[in-house]
Amino acid sequence: MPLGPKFEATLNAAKDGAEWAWAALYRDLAGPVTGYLASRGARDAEDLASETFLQVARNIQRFEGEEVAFRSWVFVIAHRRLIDWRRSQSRRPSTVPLATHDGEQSGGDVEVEAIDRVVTAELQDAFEKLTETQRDVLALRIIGHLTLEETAGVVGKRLGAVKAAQRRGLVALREHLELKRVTQ
Amino acid sequence: MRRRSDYRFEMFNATVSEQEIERLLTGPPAGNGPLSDLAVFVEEMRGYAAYVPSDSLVDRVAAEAATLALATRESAVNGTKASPPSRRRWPALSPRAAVATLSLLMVVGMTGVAAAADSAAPGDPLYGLDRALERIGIGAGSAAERLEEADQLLTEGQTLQALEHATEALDGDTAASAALDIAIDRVETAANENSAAVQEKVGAILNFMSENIGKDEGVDGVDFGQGIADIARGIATASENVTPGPVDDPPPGQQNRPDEGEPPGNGNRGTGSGSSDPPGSGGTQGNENSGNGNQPGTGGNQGGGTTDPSGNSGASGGGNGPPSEPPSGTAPGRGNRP
Repeated sequence: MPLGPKFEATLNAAKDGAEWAWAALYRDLAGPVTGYLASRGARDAEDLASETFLQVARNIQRFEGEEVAFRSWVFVIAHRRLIDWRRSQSRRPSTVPLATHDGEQSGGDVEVEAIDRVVTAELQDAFEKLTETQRDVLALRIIGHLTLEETAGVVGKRLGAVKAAQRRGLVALREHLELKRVTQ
Repeated sequence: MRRRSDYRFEMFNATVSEQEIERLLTGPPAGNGPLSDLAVFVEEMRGYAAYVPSDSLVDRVAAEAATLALATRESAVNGTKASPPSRRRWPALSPRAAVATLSLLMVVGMTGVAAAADSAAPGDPLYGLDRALERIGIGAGSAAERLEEADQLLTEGQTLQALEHATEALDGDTAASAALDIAIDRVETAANENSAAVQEKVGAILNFMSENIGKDEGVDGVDFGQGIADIARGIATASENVTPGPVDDPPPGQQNRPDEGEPPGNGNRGTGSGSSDPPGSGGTQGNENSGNGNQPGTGGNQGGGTTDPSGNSGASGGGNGPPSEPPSGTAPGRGNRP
């Protein structure tokens, strides 16, 4: 739920270091941001989402704008966190343990697993077959609720490329799903 | 099998409108219509956003964020800009100075830097300027130029990036871009995307494109796309040998994809002047630095891209948004987009 008319006051309070304001901003966006990160394979989506917000906090003084702009700015940072994460993963040996969660409390694990299981294995499978860009774009559009333009800004591609990626992603998805049904 | 995917892509294009896709992705659940099979997927994906953080997590993040915000606010109040000096690898250029610099370049025209920039490939510091100049009509970027750049990437061993860059030579959803997508798909799933065999095929695709693109406006021609697709199918994927593991992280180096031709500071696009693009501010570093922007002090970006010129100009032109995070004003610049 967007903060709407309360956004400006909340933003100002957040700049002044009010915890309640940060709690409000985080509660509002943690769902789509964490969901986006989880959907893109981040094992520690919760950690990445909170890191995203801490980065937002470091730069909040320089942010001027409305809620919509804030939202897509947060996704820009989240996407970068995701890319950083992927990079750190690719440096590790490919034997990434599936359920390792480096977080301090064990409670995190349960929630992350819960997020992971949102999508049925069949769809997850089909989704994994898409290209990185197609998955980024579709996840940002569907989970992040970003417009085409905002999505282009987040993934750093041209509008046309984003449109094409989403279209091709859907075509590929349909194809994989149908193939699956035929072979079953 | 791959041929069928070409066909499907075209069918999809022919039968599904942009509005229908928009409705599928953002609207209420679609009960029927051509995309109803995909509506299930969309609904499930939406489930991800239903995540609710625990109270303790919210408290922890809020407390930390509040402290950080306060700390940066105090340093801002004390007269020092919140951005640590170590981030600034190039001296800050005022928007006016940036305009002056670029005007001079425009007067000088295609000589010197502009000429050098024109031949810049993605990843080069001057590539951003190359694209900026192209946007204002200097050294107009042609499909041929994109393909040359793609070729350059290939010689640097950036196979996937080369292919993705080649898509920029095509405009729109054509059979050709569907065919390139097949190639990208296959390279991505190849056992080794930089193996000699893969590189050879990609080289063949680029050659084929250079030789045939633009012939009787042939970009939309089915034959053109078919030609690409035929070569693309020759790329052996890992699944044809070994089944790839479930981990889909890209190999090292893939992060630096310079495939997005447009700089993230694309807020300047379409302003007609392009003058707020300082040298090195565009093009590649959006991704290149994707981590940097988040980590003040890490530095290390080759283009000096996180310097303030781009951030400032984006903000002053477009208005709302954080001047330096994202570095090149992705968010702030959005207001300028035509």
